[in-house]
Amino acid sequence: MTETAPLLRIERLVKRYDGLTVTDDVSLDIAPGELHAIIGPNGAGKTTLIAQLAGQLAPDGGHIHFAGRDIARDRPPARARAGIARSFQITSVFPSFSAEANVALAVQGRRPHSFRFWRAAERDSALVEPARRLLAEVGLDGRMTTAARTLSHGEHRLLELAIALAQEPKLLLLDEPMAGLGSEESKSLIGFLRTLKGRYTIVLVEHDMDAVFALADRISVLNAGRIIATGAPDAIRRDPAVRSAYLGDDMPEAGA
Amino acid sequence: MVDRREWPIILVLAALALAVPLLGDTYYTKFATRVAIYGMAALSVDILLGYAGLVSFGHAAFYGVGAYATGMLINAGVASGFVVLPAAVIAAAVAALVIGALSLRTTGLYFIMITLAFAQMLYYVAQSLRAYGGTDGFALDGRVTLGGVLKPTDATSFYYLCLAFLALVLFLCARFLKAEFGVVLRGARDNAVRIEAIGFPAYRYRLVAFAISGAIAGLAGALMANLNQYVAPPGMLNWEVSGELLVMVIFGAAGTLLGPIVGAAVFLFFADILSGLTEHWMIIFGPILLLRVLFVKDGLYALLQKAMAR
Amino acid sequence: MTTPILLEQGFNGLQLGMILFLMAVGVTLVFGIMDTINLSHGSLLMFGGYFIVGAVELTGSYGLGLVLALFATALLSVIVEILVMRPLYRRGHLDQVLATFGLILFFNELAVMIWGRAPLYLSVPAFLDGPIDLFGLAYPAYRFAITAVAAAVGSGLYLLIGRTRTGMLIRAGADKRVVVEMMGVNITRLYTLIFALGSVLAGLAGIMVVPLVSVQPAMGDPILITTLVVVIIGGIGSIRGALVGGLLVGVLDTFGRILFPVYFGTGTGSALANMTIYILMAAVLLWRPRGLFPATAG
Repeated sequence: MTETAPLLRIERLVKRYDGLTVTDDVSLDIAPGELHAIIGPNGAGKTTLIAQLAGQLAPDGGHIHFAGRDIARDRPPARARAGIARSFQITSVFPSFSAEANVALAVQGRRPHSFRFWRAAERDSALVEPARRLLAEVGLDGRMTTAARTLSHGEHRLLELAIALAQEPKLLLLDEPMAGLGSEESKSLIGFLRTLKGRYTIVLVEHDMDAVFALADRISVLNAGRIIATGAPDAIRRDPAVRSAYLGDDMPEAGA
Repeated sequence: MVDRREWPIILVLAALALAVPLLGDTYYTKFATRVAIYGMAALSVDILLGYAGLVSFGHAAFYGVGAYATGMLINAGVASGFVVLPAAVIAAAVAALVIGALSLRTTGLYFIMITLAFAQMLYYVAQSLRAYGGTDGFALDGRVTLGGVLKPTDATSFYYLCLAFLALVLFLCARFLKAEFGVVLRGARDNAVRIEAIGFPAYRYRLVAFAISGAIAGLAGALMANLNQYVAPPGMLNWEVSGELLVMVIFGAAGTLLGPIVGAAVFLFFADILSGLTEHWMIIFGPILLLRVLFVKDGLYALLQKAMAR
Repeated sequence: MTTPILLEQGFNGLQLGMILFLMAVGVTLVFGIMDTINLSHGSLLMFGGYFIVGAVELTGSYGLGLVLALFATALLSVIVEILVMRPLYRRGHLDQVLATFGLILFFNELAVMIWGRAPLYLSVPAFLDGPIDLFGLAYPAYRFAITAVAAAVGSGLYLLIGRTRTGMLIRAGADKRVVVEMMGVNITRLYTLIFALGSVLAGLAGIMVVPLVSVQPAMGDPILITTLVVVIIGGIGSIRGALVGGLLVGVLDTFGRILFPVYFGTGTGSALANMTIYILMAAVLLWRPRGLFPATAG
């Protein structure tokens, strides 16, 4: 593989809560176009790590280099502008807006500012057209005008994703996109995520091992705040340290 | 915001509003003027409450600043409405920018308490203005004139002036609440975390909304000063006024534009009727408010909307 | 500014601060533990004042009147908690604000109907009438007693919350309602206790200030707003914050009223004096948005 500069370089990241070290000296490079999965047993610190990458949590130490800058102190709006989009593990949409308006709002977020007071946003085709296209792409084209709060859980997960995609990011942080989905919906979403491979650089945090092994180029395993292994899926699957970390937890056998 | 099915209600209300002076008695015209002015002030509170998701318990501050600015300018010899009214609005907007810049760094109960505290501060400051009567306030030398042509000295023409301002404010609010700015505001209310995640620094948008809201409250205060020809801390800057504005929004329907105006009408009507029955009408009104909050979900305007939807 | 005047104003500031501390305890505990605001907290101060006046008139004795007034305040607060506060704990802050606002309107009008609009007076109890010697200053014994009583209450609270099982439950209730319930403790009664405790302290504050400022309808409401400033400065949920905040506000307000008019004239001076504590609040907000001593959750 040619030596290209990583799009995201996490360097010695540290986060402490009340004396507990939740992120313990984590370093990781993500190459452009890579789909990198982060797995680990419950409580390993995966969500905390994503929160620090997304800017919701400020790290106590270390650096996060993205597109040439250390963004560790940037708040979420700055990260979005830099090209980082995040989807949430617990669905986080705008409940009183329609599905279409949800996505249009994310499209609007790409504009330098929204201090415009006269023209109705819902009639701005530069916002609405991309929103409609994206909703069709994720499979929600029949539900565009439905109020977000009335969507089903599966539809919520799709909307969740569509909002992040509408930001046209360089880096997608996906926090358990499969959360709560049944097997049919999961398979469908895995298929969709496959279409994103290569088009975006993706960091995928997941518990669903089918998804992880079907999609990941590389996998990192987090345990107690530290990365205990990084590598290709097959190597990770066979790694004894990884197996023992998952002792009792769900670790799939060969066959993905 | 304005649903096709709501137009009948709006037209009826507009027709009623325009027809009031035809009743002949200036009592009704003055009552309707107060409804229009308080309705505007309540609307300013609702922009924050219903659309931005912010509970301000301190809007008496901006209402009072508008009133005081008006009184001070008129008594200093500036009678032109084209100077006095914008000045009052700008003064209130500046006050809102300063108070908002500090208050919006907090959320929830903190925010409510801080807006209440700053408004109380302005009350005490106004009380200490000896040159302007302190607690007793001061009388105005007259009303604003508009270009020297319009002299709204009689009740009817002043009423129509207030109605015109109210209509203008309603129109402008309807526009900006549907525009990109309003969409961000409502998004920030729905989900403060996600709005930032998609690239919007919510604080800035809320601050601008707070300033706009303060400006509108200031205009209402300026108009009230003209109506009463009097400005004083009690009745304009006291914290109960802030509470009453919130009550008006709830009685009408938060999150709508006409709701607060309907709520103002309901509140003032109640106050007039009840105070005619007994001077101790608050003993009835207090529990009514309490029961309304505990047991009734919708304001009157929301009920009207629901009725039209069927 | 002579030393005796500074000293006297210092003690006055201290006394005002301690009154605010008593008020702030109720607000900060209810806010910190039940995440609820009760705007009618000031009404409890007002009723405390009315109850002591009525009880002394009834019994002819200050001591007996004091006991009666405290009891009546406790009773009133329990009734308010059961009828009004309980449904509000689960509601949003807007509902709490509006409902307790309605309660204030009701209480103030009730006071007018029962006792009239004119202020009622109470003389300083005989055994506290007269000056005591504080560092060479002749200071009113009664004012000193207020400070001493409030300090005693503060110590009692510190012991209660820090050293007793009930206090532990109060602290736990702030963090982990579910855990406390699992321990078999009746959360409902714990909340009633907390609310009543805060309200009785407000009533006590009212009882104590009547001989100084008399009692009249709606007197507690501006004091409640100042108490909110104290709680914002001191930090939510913290008794220590209530004390430090109270003292800061009491002393700064007292000295501001004396010193600003001296240096800036009566016009600008008194306007500035009124702004002192709010400027302090703004400064605290900028530097420590959660207050000086917030009770951290968990």
